[in-house]
Amino acid sequence: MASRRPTFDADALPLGLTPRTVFVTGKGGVGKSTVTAALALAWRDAGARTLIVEIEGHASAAATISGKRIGYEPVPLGEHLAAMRITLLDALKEYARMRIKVKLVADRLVSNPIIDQFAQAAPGFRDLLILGKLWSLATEVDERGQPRWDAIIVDSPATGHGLGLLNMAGVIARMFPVGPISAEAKRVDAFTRDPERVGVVLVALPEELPVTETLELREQLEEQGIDVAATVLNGLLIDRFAPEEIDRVRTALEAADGSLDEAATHALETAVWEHTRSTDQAEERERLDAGLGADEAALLPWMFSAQLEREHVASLARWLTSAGQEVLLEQLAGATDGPAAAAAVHAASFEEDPT
Amino acid sequence: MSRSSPKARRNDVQHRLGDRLASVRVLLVCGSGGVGKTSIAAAIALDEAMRGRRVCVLTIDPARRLAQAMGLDKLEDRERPVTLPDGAEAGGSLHALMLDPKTAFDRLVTETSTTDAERERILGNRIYQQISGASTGIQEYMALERLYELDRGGKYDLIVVDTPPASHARELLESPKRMLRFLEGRSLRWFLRPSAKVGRIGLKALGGSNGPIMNVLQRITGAEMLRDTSEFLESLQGIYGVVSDRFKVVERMFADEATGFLAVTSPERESVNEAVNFWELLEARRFRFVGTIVNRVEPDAPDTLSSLEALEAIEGIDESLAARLGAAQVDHAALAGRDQVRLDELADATGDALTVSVPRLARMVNDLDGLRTLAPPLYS
Ligand SMILES: Nc1ncnc2c1ncn2[C@@H]1O[C@H](COP(=O)(O)OP(=O)(O)OP(=O)(O)O)[C@@H](O)[C@H]1O
Ligand SMILES: [Mg+2]
Repeated sequence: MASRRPTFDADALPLGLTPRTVFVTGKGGVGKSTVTAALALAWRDAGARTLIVEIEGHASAAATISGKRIGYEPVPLGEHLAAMRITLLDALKEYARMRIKVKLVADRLVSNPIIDQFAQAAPGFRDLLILGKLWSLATEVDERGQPRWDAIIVDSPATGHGLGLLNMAGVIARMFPVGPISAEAKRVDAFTRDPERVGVVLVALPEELPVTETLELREQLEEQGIDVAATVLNGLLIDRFAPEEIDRVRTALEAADGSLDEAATHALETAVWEHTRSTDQAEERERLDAGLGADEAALLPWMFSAQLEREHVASLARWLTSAGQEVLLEQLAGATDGPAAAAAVHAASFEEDPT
Repeated sequence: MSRSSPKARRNDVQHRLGDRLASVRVLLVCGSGGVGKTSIAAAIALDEAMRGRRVCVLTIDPARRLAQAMGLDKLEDRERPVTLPDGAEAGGSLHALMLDPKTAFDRLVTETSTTDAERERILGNRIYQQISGASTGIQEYMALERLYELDRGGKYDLIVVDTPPASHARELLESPKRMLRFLEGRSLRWFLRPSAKVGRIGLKALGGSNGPIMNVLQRITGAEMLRDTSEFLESLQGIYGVVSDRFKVVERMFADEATGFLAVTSPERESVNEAVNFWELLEARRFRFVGTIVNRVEPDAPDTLSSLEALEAIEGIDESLAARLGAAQVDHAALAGRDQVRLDELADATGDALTVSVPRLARMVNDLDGLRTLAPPLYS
């Protein structure tokens, strides 16, 4: 099956990654769901058949792309793009049906409260069911024997729990060396550790603790033999002001000494505030890149919008391509026309197709 | 909706956070991860200590965020004294404790088992070793278990609990009940029956009402998992009673007058909705909701923004700079406006509960002085 992988336009691939199964994880609120959605759009645009997977109990990535209700069966959100949500009970039913061939018996028994409680309480069983479902999605083929999905993007639980999820197959394989559970756990464990097929996308914000945690998590994943496919630094403010300009703004604030009106004072203070934050962010970005060694974090700009809509996510998707990354890097370095170009990023994001 | 009334209420409320906390002995700080829960919990603990109370703050964060914020490089599963900055009122003290679920679970087993053999059997169990540190629910249970111990120790006037980052408020509220239901429920007793040890006696020998369930479970999991799980649960048998008593205490503690719940959110819609849901859950249970801290609120913007001409007129500001100053102001004011709307919605939706906003700071909080800078907006 692996040999029949379709080829994709390398320039259009987000993060330079060929489509595969990725777990998008990071601290709470760093933009996991947003990056999941953007990555899905970008892969889809590069021609991959793409599936967004949410896990029961976590906020939804698909909602930023479409208002459609999603469930255990993949729901199309557009051409080559679908989304689903893994619910524990459905996964348990499916698993039981695989092992007990009589569907009715399997369903009836799964709804038995004892079995339900067992699934909730038995160590790691829930995580194994989720991983097992992902494995079967990743290996599913269509009528022509082609993989049904080229890219599967999992909006994963926040850091601690996300790591637990990825690890669980290995833990279970060690707990139960023989038996059907063990066979399942070993197969799933081999899958999660295959860098050709599975990787983690770590999302960070350019702040001290998120960066530290991202580096720690990356180390832990590497120790466990789980591939970190990419690290995304989200929410970068692109400085609209040169340091020399901020000096002038500061001087103006001091000189005014209260004589400016509230609106003008706020405008000047906002500029200083934004510049301070983006200077701090640049430091954190450096620290992250230093920690990543040979790798480099992919960057995403902060979008000034009261609510991120599909258009914003589409824009983030284009920033994720190599052309988008190049433009961003130049602007962060002030290499093009400096602050003026940064202003354009703020206003228009990434309107035209860079390719 | 009038803009002034919720605002006025908020101001009023800010004066009251300190007052409300005065009668709180256990404060559970809840909210989804990444909203600054740990910093807020630490800031409140520090401030209450500065006011002369004996405070302990308990955190469960694997990334040791609080440890860094408190200027400690390592927090074990033990209370550590934190040196208070100058100016603390007499009698005030602060301890910090970082939960290590594995150590806490081991200690629970050691304390509650009646014989050495029993203890060894539990600690040596394969499943126990794998799940005691790793499993998701364990963090919550052990946090509550730790809370029980701290409370019983009687050394503190206030215990601040920073809840696990990924746990949903509902799950946390229900975890004592869930634990009790499990300990006293049918499924546990069922697992402890000799018939559950299929691996030993073989499935065919089984009869009675457990037959079909055994059958399906064994087909799903295999005999080994069933047998090991049942052995594991059996090994714990001796401590169920004690554990169950403790969780009853914790459950009562939740309902206690002196126990307060505090929600921490960001101004994002989902986060605000979560806080409203949480308030509803607590109201329904008649638990004490202290209020919501909305963290990282975009700094307030004036109602009318500056004109470009006015900016250009300022000494040292040219046309190009003025244009960007204006654009930045528009962008930030839009975010500030959005946050204000969310705050108003939240204040309206949570009745008399407090809504306190803490502005997004340009710089991160990562030491005691940084934590102190959170106090003025918190207490106003
Ligand atoms: N680049 C960005 N620019 C502007 N806003 C952003 C950006 N990325 C994320 N956001 C906003 O930040 C908030 C948190 O993002 P998101 O829901 O994707 O985070 P998450 O990591 O999935 O959170 P959780 O841990 O709760 O699942 C959302 O309101 C989102 O719209
Ligand atoms: Mg999310």
